[in-house]
Amino acid sequence: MEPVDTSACVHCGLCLPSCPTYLVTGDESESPRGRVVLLNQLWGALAVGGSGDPGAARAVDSCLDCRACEEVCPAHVPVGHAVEAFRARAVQAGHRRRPLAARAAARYFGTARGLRRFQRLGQWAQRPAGRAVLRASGRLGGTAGAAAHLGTGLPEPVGRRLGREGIRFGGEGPSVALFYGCVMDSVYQATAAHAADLLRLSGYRVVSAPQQVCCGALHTHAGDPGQAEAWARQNVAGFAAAGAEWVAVTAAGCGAALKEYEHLLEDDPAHESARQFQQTVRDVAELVALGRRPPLPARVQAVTVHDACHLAHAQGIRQEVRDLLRWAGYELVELPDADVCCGSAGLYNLTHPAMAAALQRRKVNTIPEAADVVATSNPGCLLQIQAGLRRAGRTTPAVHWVDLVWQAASDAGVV
Amino acid sequence: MAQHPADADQASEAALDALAEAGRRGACLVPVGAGIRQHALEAWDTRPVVPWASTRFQTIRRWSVPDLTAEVDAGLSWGDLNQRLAQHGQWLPVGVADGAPDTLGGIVSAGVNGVWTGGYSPIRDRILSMTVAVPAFGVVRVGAPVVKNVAGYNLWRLYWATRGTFGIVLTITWKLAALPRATATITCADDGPVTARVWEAARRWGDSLPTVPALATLLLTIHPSGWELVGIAHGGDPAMDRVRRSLGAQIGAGQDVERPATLPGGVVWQARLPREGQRLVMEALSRSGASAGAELQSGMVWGYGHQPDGASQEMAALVARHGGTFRHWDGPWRGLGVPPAEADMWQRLKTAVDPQGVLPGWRAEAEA
Amino acid sequence: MGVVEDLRRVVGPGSVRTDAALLDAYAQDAYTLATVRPLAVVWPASADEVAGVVRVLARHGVPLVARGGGTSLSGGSTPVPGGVVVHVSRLNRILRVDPLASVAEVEPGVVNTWVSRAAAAAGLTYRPDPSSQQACTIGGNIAENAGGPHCLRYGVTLNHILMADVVWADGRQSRVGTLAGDPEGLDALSLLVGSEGTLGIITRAWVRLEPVAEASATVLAVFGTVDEASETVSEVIAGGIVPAALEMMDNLAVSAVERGQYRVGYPPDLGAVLLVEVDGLTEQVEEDAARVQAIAARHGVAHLQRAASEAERTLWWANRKTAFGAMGLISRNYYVQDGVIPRSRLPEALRAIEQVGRQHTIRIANVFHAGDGNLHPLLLYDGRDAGEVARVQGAGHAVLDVCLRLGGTVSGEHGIGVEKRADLARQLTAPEMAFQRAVKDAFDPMARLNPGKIFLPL
Repeated sequence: MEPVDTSACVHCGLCLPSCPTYLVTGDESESPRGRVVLLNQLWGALAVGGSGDPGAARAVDSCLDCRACEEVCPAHVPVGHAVEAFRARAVQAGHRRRPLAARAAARYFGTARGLRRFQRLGQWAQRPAGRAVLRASGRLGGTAGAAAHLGTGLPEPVGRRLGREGIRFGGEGPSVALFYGCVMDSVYQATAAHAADLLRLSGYRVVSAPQQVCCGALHTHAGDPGQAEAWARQNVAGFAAAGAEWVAVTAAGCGAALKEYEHLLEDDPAHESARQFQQTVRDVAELVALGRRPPLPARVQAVTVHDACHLAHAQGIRQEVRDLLRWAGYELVELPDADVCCGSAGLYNLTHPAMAAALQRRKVNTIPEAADVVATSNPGCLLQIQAGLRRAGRTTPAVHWVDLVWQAASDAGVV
Repeated sequence: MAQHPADADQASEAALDALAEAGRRGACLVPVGAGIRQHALEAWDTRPVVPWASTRFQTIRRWSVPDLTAEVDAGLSWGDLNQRLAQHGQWLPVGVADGAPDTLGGIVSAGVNGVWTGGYSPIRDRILSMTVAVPAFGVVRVGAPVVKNVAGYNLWRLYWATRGTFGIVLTITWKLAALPRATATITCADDGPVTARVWEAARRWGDSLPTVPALATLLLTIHPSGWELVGIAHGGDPAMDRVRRSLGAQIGAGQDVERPATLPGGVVWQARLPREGQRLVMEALSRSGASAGAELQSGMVWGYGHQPDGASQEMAALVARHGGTFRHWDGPWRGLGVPPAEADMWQRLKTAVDPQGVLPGWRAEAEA
Repeated sequence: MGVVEDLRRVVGPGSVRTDAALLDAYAQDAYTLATVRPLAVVWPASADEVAGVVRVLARHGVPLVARGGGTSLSGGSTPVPGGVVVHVSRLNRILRVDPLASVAEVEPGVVNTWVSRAAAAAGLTYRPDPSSQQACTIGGNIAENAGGPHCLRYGVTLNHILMADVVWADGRQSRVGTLAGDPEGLDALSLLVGSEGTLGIITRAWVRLEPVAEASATVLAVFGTVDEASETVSEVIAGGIVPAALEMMDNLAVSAVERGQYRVGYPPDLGAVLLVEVDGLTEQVEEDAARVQAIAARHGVAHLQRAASEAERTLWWANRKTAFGAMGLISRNYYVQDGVIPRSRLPEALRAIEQVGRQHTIRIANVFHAGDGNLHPLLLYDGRDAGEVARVQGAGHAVLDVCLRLGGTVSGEHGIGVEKRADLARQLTAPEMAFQRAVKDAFDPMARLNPGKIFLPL
């Protein structure tokens, strides 16, 4: 793994307040500009066979990879990507263990069978025995405690089939295949079906793409690009076989990863097909926003939107989600700092529980009381924000915007 | 090393001579302009007091018409300056509240603000640079004669309202304005004390012109039998038509009565207050049957010494209660305030600038 | 007892950091020609902790620099050798927005744009808008007397700070300035603003808010030559129009920002582009915009366009304001200068600067506040080439010589810092320098606060 070029950084500092870890700590070494300095230092150490200063490595590793800094950087210095590259190199060099959570993710998310196991874990978490165990381990702290806390953010009840099994195919118009995602598929099952309904409503033909696997984003972030590359090749081939014009994604994290396959498979024979695949990937919001929108009546619920990092910063999508919620008749309430990370960030809430909890508190504290629902577009954010709201004793639900818009369309009898 | 035109001129030499002479005689040199805002000289100091008559020098040193800047002798009056600037369509938006012919140096040294403070910013904010005669350093330039400058400390601000404490102001470089292409004047008046109606009218006038500044001046005058509100706008013809139309439609507003924006002569104190404080002070003055004026966009208030003695002291207390700052030009000079935490630092600066104490000093406030 | 232990006792052990590797993240601000690793970084959580830190450091004879966003372009927040960085990043609360008095009460670590965002609901805004406003802090803005494009009409930071709490060099605290906006007695606030952290540390500030004008128009004028653009600027100013902002970028600058995050789509062969914004009453805006356009037309404008929407206006400004950072796209390093000239001398100043570039074989891009005569030549270089670094520094001083020769000043808004100490000494006479030093010596006699800035060692 080679260092990512950050030499376009002229140290202007415009990125600092966009960085969630800097907002929490006020420490420049945990800011994008600081991390660029520390990364240079660490790569320098690696080049001469050392492992670099452990404190510097920790400061780099506390990056959420939320991409907020990349979005505001005048010279688009790819700090997030540079951190990912360093993590991978450190794992490769044996200076850093592949995180436990990444190994767990590989076990669960690689196959449909794994996802069903993950789903059963979620169901168990909602049974009395499971709840008791979660409560006990929630007090432990560390990764186990963080995982237990996150369990409290699960939607109730976690269903018994995968999301992909509920999709109604068909419709008229350009063809689109849904990317299922892992947590979306196993925990937020209804969303896939709702997304398919909305796509058909707005003028697409939903087709099946059965040969797909996890996008690999969690592994890329955690410093395991090997696994991510393997899955990327499977997905590129699988969607090519399905032959749809578009690939629609409901999870912002997956969408951002799929849109970077060209980069991920840079030196791979599959590079060209990855490039072609990447151009067909769209968030569901992008596709629906461009489609037909029959008028829908006003609703009484007020919604506030949390911008998932990998939707807002990595894909530049903000307005579409709000436009669609307005179309569905919801009243929008402004969320201050809507695009500051909630602390979920893939597996970050398991690997860095203290920072994740600080960002979760920040996020929950800014959610206005006037909002009946928090809408977002990534399963990690849904879990994290829901768990945070429950911990704060609030009953406000966190819901995927697709489900909210679908509900409005369904009530109006158009889906 | 930079050369400045003031280095070797007459005023500089005269000022340096006067400082040296005062030093030799153990006297205190006090700058005097037109004498309008001057306290009794003997009240300045226990030492003999020697006046520095700035009015000996009244030229425009340099006027860069395309830059809208001019360097002017401190002894020139604002009225004379504006008369000369008008030939190229420019002016310094001072307008001393009671129309008196204060010198520019006097305006700076006494900290006078005028009726255009709301529309054209306080006078202090139009100063770019000065040349000053300082006992320890000779004639030096403070600030720079361009419209933006952060090279070193803002030394010119040491001379605002400090009456010669840190040196004698010789020239001032001003940021000028273009004369308005058109004006619109709106008035509104009534008998009796100021009531909610005044503030309501002022608020509506402001609300109907959402910009900064809404008006060149919004001047409220009170007198024992009533009040008058005058709003004057500056701008192009279309905007002035709009001002007349929209303000003219407001309650009781008379249109386009051409009138100068000044108060009756004899202002002896000036205050600046936060918005709410200004309202309360003007209501209190109005109830007591006093005469005063206020520029409602800037918080400025000007008043008269209707009681022979101690009037301004009473007023100072009223203004302070409402969060304002106060300057008085009657009775004995009461000196400059220095908070105890800053006293050592200011004393060190004073000693460095004026080692022999040739210039006026201040009395330190007691430790709280 | 060591200084670090004493600091820990004041701010708590978690708020002092001394690990060498991490301190490298603090070794520079946005001026990258100076690098100093500090002794430690301290994060105070209150004004009293700031005062405690100052007292501890005074006792141990250790100097300090207060740091906000670390975006100074003159090295104002570069650490001082053997000194401590007092990072006020955790003092970042907006304590109050008072719509009636039009004042915001904020802590020094509050980011510039946060203030306007908090005031927006009341229809108010905080005017000074340095291009780094998304990251620079109010404390730093005060220390550097920050400017920005819209200071042309609305004034610089100095004109917008009403009152402040300050910790002096001996650890004493006082409140300077008044909410009324006029000084009472001796005016320490005016000295503190622009003092580059050398006289005291701001721990709280009351800043003036102003209503947003009902209308504004932003005009983009593309010229074939820099001369045509600068003559347009001079005529706009001489015509008595006071635009809210009047900005210029030349070809090289445009070529960088057009590769950056915010692309306007400028023609590649332009000589210079002017961004002119007028605001006020609708009728006045229409009249002023028409006058500006007529003046541009008289000077051979190639393309004239008025922003059709707020989104378009925002894009134009984002393009302009990220120009410095975007230099990374056309050059390994850049060095921005910040001189001021009388604005009527713009055409000859730009010609002279071009000559400086040729003489020193340094590429120079220009992005600046034309209406103020505040030039920002961006000198492009490669920091790995020692010869080029020397040439770029020589060119920087030569640019300032141009400003001084035309009757200007060596800094309009970035400050002296470590960068321009020699230039300041050239601008001022020896007695004027002595007067400046007298202030520093009076307020900080032991030279504890950001020593080595503004003044060269005697």
